[in-house]
Amino acid sequence: MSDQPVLKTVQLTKTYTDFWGRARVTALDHLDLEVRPGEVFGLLGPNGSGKTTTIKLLLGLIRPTRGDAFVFGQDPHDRKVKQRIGYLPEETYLYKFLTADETLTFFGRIFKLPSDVIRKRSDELIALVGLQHARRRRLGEYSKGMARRLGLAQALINDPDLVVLDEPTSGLDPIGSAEVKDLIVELKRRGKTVLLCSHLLADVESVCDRIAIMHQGVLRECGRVDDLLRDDQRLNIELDRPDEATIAAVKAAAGASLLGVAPPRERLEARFRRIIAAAQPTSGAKNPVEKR
Amino acid sequence: MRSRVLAIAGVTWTEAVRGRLWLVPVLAAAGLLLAGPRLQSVDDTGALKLAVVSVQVVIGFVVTLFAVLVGASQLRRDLDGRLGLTLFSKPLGPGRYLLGRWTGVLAIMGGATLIIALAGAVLLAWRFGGLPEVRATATAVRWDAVTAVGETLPDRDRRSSGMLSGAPGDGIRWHFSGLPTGRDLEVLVKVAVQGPDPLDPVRSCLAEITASPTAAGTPIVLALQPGSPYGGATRHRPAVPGKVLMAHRDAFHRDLTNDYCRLLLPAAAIGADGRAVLGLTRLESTTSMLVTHDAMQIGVDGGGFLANLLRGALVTLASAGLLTAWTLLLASLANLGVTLLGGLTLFFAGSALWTIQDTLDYERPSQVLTRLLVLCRDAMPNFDRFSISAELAAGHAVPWSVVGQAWLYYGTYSVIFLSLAWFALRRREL
Repeated sequence: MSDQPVLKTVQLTKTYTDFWGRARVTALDHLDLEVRPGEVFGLLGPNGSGKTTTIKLLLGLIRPTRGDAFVFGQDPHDRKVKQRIGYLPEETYLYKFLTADETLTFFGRIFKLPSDVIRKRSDELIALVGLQHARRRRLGEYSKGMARRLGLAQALINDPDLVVLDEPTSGLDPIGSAEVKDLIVELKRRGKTVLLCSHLLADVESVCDRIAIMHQGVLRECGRVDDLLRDDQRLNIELDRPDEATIAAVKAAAGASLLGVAPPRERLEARFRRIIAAAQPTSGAKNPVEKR
Repeated sequence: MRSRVLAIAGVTWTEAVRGRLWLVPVLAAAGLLLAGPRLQSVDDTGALKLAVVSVQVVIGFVVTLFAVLVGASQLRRDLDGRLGLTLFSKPLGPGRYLLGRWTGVLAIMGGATLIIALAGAVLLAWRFGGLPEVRATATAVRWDAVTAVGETLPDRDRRSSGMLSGAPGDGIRWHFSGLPTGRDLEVLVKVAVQGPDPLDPVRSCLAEITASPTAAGTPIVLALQPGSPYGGATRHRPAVPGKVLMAHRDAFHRDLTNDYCRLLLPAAAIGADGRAVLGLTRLESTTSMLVTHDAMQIGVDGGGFLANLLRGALVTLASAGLLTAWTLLLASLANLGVTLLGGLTLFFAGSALWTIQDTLDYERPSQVLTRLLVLCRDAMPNFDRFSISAELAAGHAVPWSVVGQAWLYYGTYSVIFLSLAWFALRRREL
């Protein structure tokens, strides 16, 4: 794998101006960032922190006020670069009068894919996002979650090397969210680079290799998730079915440095998935009726 | 490139079909079929003309409506609804996007035109028992004046009209070339006749029409066609064998079937090289004739009415393509309200350029205003440049050359507007 960064920004700055060209707001301020091949990179920050602006700059949808952005070492406006990118915007913006099949065919044609490839990938992706039962329904009849799933499918129609996902779990139920996270892990396994933009910290923490935290257009922190979250001042000790005597011994050994003793809690998401999976009549089947 | 343009054009078409836009031409066609039989005029000829013009007007209305509304609203929806984020993050440039939208709208307008044209053809065939005759005509490459004593005066000044008056026996010789050989053709002739008393309503002049393969050849006297609207006996004058009674027909008389005296041009009067010389000799001194260069024409096969109607629709489509490009430009810059207003403004202004000319001719505006009006007149597209409905109503064929000219003229504007729209969209931040 090449060492060349997939994404690189150098002092990237974006200032939005009014009609007369007067600066209104600086959405991004001197951002230096690098995303390496095969990495799942998380872009974190509250609303208005400059995440979407960064993505738009990297996709060539807007122009920087200062600084440079490179994707695969090229200008983001380059059509060859865009040919290798899959993008899921913050909200699902698709044609409501098309069906899922037609939507994927349309985007496949935009990528100039041969018809048989489009057909094959459409089948795979529709199965992947669980929309087989609704593939011939128009998007206008889709729930928000279904549209989001299709948005994800269109982002992958060109089998991209770089997948940019802006709030991919927005509008999805916990099962859908978990499936998206599984998909991101699968993409990483297949050597794809993923830029994940979210303010759902748990999502990012569970799938990202590295994260960048932004606030008010400025990069506040950047590094490996493990490194950033590691707390060298504390230690967790997990014991398998300890008896009272063992617990008392550990407490005694820890002395004043002991902060607490409690059974570990299962994560809510894992619990939820387990309950839903147990309630499914057949494994893997999707509920065709989704709440609008 | 083609695939991306066609993908956008396809989505434009699909949206129109699923948005039930096809109801517009279908309802327009139904309206035409319902209202057509009720169109009244002084006679059947007038009613036929009215019906032909109605078909063209309905096509023009629907196509203009689509040109202004469809492409621009779809483009605005893509930008305002942020679908542009998804679209332009793909390898799709603004140029291909605009070209796709433009092509899609053109295809929609083409479909609508076809529906209305077919309904129009059904109406005409049903109401008038058949489709109207359409003729293409050939005009002379040059003409000479011939004096009463037989002297030929070549038209060196390339005049467009000439007056025959005074002693009888003078006339005009028209030189034709490139005519089809080996078969009989039809001569169409009309002149403006001025009697001694300008108030005299009976204005006609006896004349002789001859033809020969060359100027030196023996002229053949042409005979009236049985279906000629005039030329033989009138209420006031009996027919004269071998002669034609030319009735007064001025520039407003353009109907090839009803306003022209029609004579048979035998194949023998046409040279093997497709040349022929046709002569008109004035035989009376009491009236004078104002003869124009195109007073004498030779009718050649103009094709079927439906084919001509569709060629005329192609001309209309060319102008609608311009309007589509203009509204796409406006939609790239401004909101839908401004776009619609701007689209309609250009259409109405471009359909009324003659008013600017009238102002320049008769109102004597200030120098600044004159310059401004001249600029508008010269720069603005003229939507009346090819008056197809009037031509078709007058039985004139719409040749492919006119279709080509229309696409060249309107297409140039379309290219300019689409280029500007491309520039605007390229600069636009999503």
